[in-house]
Amino acid sequence: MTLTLDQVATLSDWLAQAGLDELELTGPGLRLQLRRTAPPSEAPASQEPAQAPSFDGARTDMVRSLGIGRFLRAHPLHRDPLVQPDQLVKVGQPVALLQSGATLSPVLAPRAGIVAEITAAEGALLGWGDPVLSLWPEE
Amino acid sequence: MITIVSQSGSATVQDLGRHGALRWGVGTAGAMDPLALAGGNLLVGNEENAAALEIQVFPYEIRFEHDCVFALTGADCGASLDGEPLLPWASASAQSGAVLRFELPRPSLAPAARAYLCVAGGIDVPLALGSRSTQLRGAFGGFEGRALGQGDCLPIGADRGSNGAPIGAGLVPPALAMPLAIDDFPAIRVLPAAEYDRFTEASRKAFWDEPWKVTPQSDRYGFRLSGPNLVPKAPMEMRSHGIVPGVIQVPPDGQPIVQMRDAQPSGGYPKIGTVIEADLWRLGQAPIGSRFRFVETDWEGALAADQECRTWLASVKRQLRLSAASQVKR
Repeated sequence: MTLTLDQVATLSDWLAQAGLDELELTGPGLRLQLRRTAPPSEAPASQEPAQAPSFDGARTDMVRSLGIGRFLRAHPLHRDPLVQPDQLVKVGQPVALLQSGATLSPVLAPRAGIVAEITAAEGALLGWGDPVLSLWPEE
Repeated sequence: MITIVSQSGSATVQDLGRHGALRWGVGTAGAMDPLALAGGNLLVGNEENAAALEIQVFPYEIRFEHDCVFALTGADCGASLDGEPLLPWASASAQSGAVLRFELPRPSLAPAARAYLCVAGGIDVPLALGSRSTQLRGAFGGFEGRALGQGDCLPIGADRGSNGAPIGAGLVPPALAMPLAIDDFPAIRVLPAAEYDRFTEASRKAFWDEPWKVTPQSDRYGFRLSGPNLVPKAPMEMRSHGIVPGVIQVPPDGQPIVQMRDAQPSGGYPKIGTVIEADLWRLGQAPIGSRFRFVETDWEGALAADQECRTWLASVKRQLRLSAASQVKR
């Protein structure tokens, strides 16, 4: 079960309309916390953390390459990348691809989390252990 | 065992085709996109010619009745397993009871019309004249010699390859690995055929220079194309003679028909050209309504194209074997 940013924004709107400050949503493989920092009367114009899943600390996990290949953010057939920053990913979800000649191998999220930063450069040749992207923990 | 959930028809069991039986008037049948079928089989550790499912009408759903490793190739259908999205041209594993759903082919960077489902062990229907392809016209081969219907159960072979690539491995689709285009149209290479010179010069020029459109009257038997009128210098009456997939016939209305995998093995229309064997997969994946161009080639060019396909398959096999060997265990 995953949520899109649009769905998170909708939940955040409902929170504002109901005059509530906090929402916690749990489901299979999902836990979401929303906490409003702006007063309910203010127009939610900015993309501030009040509308983003909250997390404590600045601790991120680095996902590393388990193989050798050219780093691809999107499948060769697609224009859109597999994941974007701030996207919630599940354990085992493909977040990038490594191309080696005719073959592709997926880079899988080692645990559930939120994509923080894509550190590898599109098209770069990666080796074993090279950083790919960083994940905020799910909580 | 795989159970067909969808009602929609025209999915068939195919392998790379039934060769050597044209002498008895039995056409080759086989996958419209043999590279997709072979590639998918290699992804799950099968031999290239293992039988697979070719799906042409979407959406489509099947259910795995036991744990299974499978691969999806051909058209990118935004497929999902129990709702979880799958990457195209990649292998995955399914647990017993999982439902695989294909949506309409996406307008990806390499549009295609037909999807292939390859399963580890292959689809285990009996061989008929040396092949598991469905011979629709003759109603034999494949699964009971017919298109699949709701409730049909396909047996899966137990003999799995021992050097299967890691689950999740994928391939760069051949349409991207071996692109072929002219003036922004997908290109299909053609050898001039026996009656080529008996068409007017204007017709021959238009044949190469103008784009052709795949009409809705296009299927596994043949593709009817629309485009410039092809006019013979003089009316031609020919006796029926042997033809093969790829032959481009010109009926009296001047609009060509390309014979495809389920074509009749004989025909009497004049032949202006033949799509080379190595490009039949490109045409076989052309969606209805899409346009393409014919490009003239010669014997050497056709052989070189065939070699390019073999080289691609050999690279895939070699690289999948390497990735299986170098897989890091966590």
